[in-house]
Amino acid sequence: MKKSQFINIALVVAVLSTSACSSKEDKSAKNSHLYLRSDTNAHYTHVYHPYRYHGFSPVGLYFLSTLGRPVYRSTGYESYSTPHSSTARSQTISRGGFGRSAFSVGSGRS
Amino acid sequence: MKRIAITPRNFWQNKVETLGFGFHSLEGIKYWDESAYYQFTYSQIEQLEKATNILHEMCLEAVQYVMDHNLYHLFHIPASVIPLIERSWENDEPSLYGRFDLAYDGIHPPKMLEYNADTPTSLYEAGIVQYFWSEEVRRGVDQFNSIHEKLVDYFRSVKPYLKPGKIYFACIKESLEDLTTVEYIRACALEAELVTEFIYIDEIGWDSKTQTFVDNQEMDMQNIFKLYPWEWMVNEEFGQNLLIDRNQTLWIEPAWKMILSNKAILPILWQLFPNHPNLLPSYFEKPASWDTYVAKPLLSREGANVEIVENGNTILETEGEYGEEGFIFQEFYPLPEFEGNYAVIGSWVIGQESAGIGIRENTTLVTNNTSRFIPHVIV
Repeated sequence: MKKSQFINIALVVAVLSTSACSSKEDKSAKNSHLYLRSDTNAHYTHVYHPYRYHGFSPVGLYFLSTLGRPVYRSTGYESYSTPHSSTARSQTISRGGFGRSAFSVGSGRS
Repeated sequence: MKRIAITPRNFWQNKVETLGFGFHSLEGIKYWDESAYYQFTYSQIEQLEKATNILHEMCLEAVQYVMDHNLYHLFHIPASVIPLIERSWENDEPSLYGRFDLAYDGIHPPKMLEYNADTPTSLYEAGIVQYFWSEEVRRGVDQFNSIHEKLVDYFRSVKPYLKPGKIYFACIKESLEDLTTVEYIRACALEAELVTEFIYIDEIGWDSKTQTFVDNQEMDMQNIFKLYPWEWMVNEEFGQNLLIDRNQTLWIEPAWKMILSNKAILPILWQLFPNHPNLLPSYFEKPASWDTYVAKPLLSREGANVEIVENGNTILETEGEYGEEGFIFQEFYPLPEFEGNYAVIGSWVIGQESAGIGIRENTTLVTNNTSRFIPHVIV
C-alpha cells in the first residue's frame, strides 16, 4: 500500500476507533450478534442476532444473555454438502487447483 | 512486564468453547493457557504501540525500495509474479492486517523478530478470547486490544474500494484453527455490513473460457480474503491463472505482502534503517566476525528450520522442510525469560495501525507449534 493511502486510512481509522487500550468500553455490546460461525458451504445472508453457529460437529446458536454474557445453545448435529451448480459453464471450469501445498498456516500461529 | 501465575477458571475449557474457541488444546497439549497472565504498565504498552506503528511504516518504505531497485531475486519471488505484486501496490489494494513478532522485556526497546504480514493467525485468541478472559478474571482492568473494533472499522472503510459483488473468505479444509480465524474475520466483515460468503480454497474454480475465478455457484469472484500464503498460490500451477485473471480479483492480503512476509525483508530493513532501536542487525550473508547469530529460512512457518548459534556452537536447531530458498542471518537476541518461559509479543497491525497484542510463550527460545497463548492486562 502506498504511503499516501496509508496516511489516509490511518486518519480514518483514528477517527473511527477508540483508544488503542479499549477494554473500558462496552465491547460486549459491539459483539452482540456474533462470535463465530465455523464452516460451511451454506450461503449466508444478512441475518443478525442471534447467529446460527456451524461448527465442525455441534451446531447451535450463540447469543448474548441479558447480562451480556455469551450463551451457546446446542441444536444437535448437522452436515452440509457443497451445492455445486451444473451448467454449460461447468464444462470450462476446473477446481482443486489451490490448496495443493496446504497445511494449516495456523498450526504454528504463523 | 510481569508474569503472574493464577488459578485457571473452573471449567475454562467450556468457557472458551462457548466463545467458539475450539482449538484451545492441540493434541492434548494446552494452547490457551490461563494459568498465568502478563501484566504491563501503560508506558510499556505505549512503547509497544509506538514501535509497531514505526515498524509498519518502515516496512512500507522497504516495500517501495524493493520495487524501485528490483530486488525480487533476493526474495526468490518468480519474475512472472512481479506485475501482480506491483499492480496490487500501485492500485492500493486493501491490506487488512499483519502481526509483528517482537522480543520485549519491558525495559529495552522492542525488537522486531519478523513480520507475519500475509497469513498471521492467533487473531481470534488475541481479539476475543483474551478479552472475555479479562472481563471475567480482571474485570475493569485494561488490555491492549482494539483488534475487533479496528477490524470492523477497516472493513467499513474499504467497502467503497472493493469490486462489485461479495467478498469471499477462503482457507484450507481440515484445520479448525484456520477456519476459526477466517470465520472470525468474516464475522467482522458482516458487522461492517459487507456481503460475504465462505469457500474452501480448493473449491475456488477457474473458468478457462471467461478467464475468471468462480465460486461454487459459478459466479465470478472479484474480492477474496484468503488465509493461504501467497508463495504457495504462485508456486501452484493453478496460480498461473492469477496472471491472466480478467477480473483482476482483489486478493486480501494483497500480492505485495509477499515482500513483507519474506524474511529477506529483515536485511533490507537493516540496510535502510541501520541501528534503528527496533531492528536487529540482519544480513543475507553471515558476517565473518559473527559466532553468535540466528539463521532463518526466507520462507518458514512454525519456527521451522531455525538455527541458533552461540559462540560458534549450535544451541538450538528446529526441524522442518524449509530453507530451499536460502537463509538470512539475524543477531541473536534471546526472548525474555519468565520462570522458564520465553515470551514473544505478537503485535497486531489492523488497517495500517497498531491494534493490540497477544503473547505466546514456550519453554524453548524458538516459538513454535507447541507454544501457548497467555492473556495479558495493563495496570
